[in-house]
Amino acid sequence: MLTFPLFNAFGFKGSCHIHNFSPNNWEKVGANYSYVSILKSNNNLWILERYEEIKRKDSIQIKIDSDSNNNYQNGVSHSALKIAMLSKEKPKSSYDLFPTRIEKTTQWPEWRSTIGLSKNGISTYYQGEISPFPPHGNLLSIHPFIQSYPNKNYFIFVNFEKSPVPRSSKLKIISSLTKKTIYDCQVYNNCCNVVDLNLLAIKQKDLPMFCCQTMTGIPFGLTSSNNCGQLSFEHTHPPGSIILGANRFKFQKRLKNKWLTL
Amino acid sequence: MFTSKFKNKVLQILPTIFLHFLNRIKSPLIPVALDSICVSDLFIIPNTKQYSTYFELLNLTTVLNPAKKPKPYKVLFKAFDQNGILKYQKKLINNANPRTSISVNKLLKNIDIETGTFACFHLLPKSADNDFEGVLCERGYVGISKRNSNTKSYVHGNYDCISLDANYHTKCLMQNSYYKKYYYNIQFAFSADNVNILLIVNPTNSRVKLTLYSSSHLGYNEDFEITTLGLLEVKLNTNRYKKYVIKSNCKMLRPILLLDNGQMIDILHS
Repeated sequence: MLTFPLFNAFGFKGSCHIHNFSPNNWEKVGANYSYVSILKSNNNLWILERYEEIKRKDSIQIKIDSDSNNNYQNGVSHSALKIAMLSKEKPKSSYDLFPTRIEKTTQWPEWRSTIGLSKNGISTYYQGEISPFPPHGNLLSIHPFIQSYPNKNYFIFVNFEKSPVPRSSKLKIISSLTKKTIYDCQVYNNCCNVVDLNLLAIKQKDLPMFCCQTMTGIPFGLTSSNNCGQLSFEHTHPPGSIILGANRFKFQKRLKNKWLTL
Repeated sequence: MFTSKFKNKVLQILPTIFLHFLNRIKSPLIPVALDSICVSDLFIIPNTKQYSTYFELLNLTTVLNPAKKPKPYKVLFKAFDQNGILKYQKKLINNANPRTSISVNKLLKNIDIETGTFACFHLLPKSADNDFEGVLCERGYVGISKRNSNTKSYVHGNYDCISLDANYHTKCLMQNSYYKKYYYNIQFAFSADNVNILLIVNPTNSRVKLTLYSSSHLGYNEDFEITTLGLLEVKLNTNRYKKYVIKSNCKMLRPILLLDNGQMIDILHS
């Protein structure tokens, strides 16, 4: 079973193009997937919204039509995360906890789908997947994607946990120039949280750090040109990737401690 | 080093089991020497006549030690043409700003590079302030825009590819298999509405030979070669074929996809 994120973000419509073929021939994974299902956390359960069959070597594009769950307050929007699941077994109608992956899948590279955001007929994509994050992970994202005015910049933080029980945490944005917190807000689990960075007047030479003490997820930068004719959508690397030839996790933990305790 | 005729002869003679053994011992990744100064990804420079390339240079003294004032230091910038030949190298000052957006087109305006690759090495020694183990690694972010646009589309680096030693000599940290053919299926359904370009860098220490297939067996296939540190740019015929496969002796030959609809571009790792 493989899982991919599907979300709307701040007026941008989400899509996910799922591929039923392995990315490589050097990891034998027995890719006999038959179903694509869409699940969403609701009332402390993971609820099946719909599912369809997928043929071997085929691709299916799934779009989110409505944006009814989008909730905007003080420069932050929260929209429910949907999980697109590629599985061998027919999905159940609900799960107490998100089902655990049991079979082997590819690792180098990961089996990915094409995740897109669109507005006014213009689309931007990245290749990605998502696995449930541990409930007490933390986040440090070094964000070099701010583009100059009149471009519009957003920070997207997508969390996915096995538990459908809602919880929240605080996201802080720290300026690397001043080392001061320039903004903080609530973020939610199993959610696509979008921060409107246009309200914060972040300078081009600044490097905002996005920190969260009790929740982790995938951090993205989204930029649209003023007329929305050009989009950019990319995730940041984990901070541990700054080094090689030593224990990246240990280094990352130390680096996170320095920024999270500022 | 060997001619392909000689190589083929050897392959015919050696028993398969020995080839398996050779392939096993020749890992696709070479461990980085811990006395290296820095490791860099090999970043793309798409066609400079149509696109502008920017590199987001971060001041790592800011990142590594938020309690201290950031300091300027030098970085070594190297640019290669599409054949992997070094065309430009210069030490640049990385100023004390946490982030500087470098226009690669401006930096290379007097250099004859239409498409190519570049690497950026931080010349930052270890110290009590710059507290890190191992070797610093630049896997950063490249922004590509159309020449007349002020909005970049970003793509992140992907390989821990080239290390720089104390004498400023570079070494590739990835290598090809002697004989094994790897199939990489691009998990992307191309649209005929865009001009779709594959940008493939050769991050290894030897020439990469590859065949690009359409995934339908009766479809298109074409052979290419990329020299070390070089770049291959392939415009896809997505009117006829939507899915593509790369067969090569390099395990991680993952192309960057540049989608251009005439008005806007999108760039992403496959």
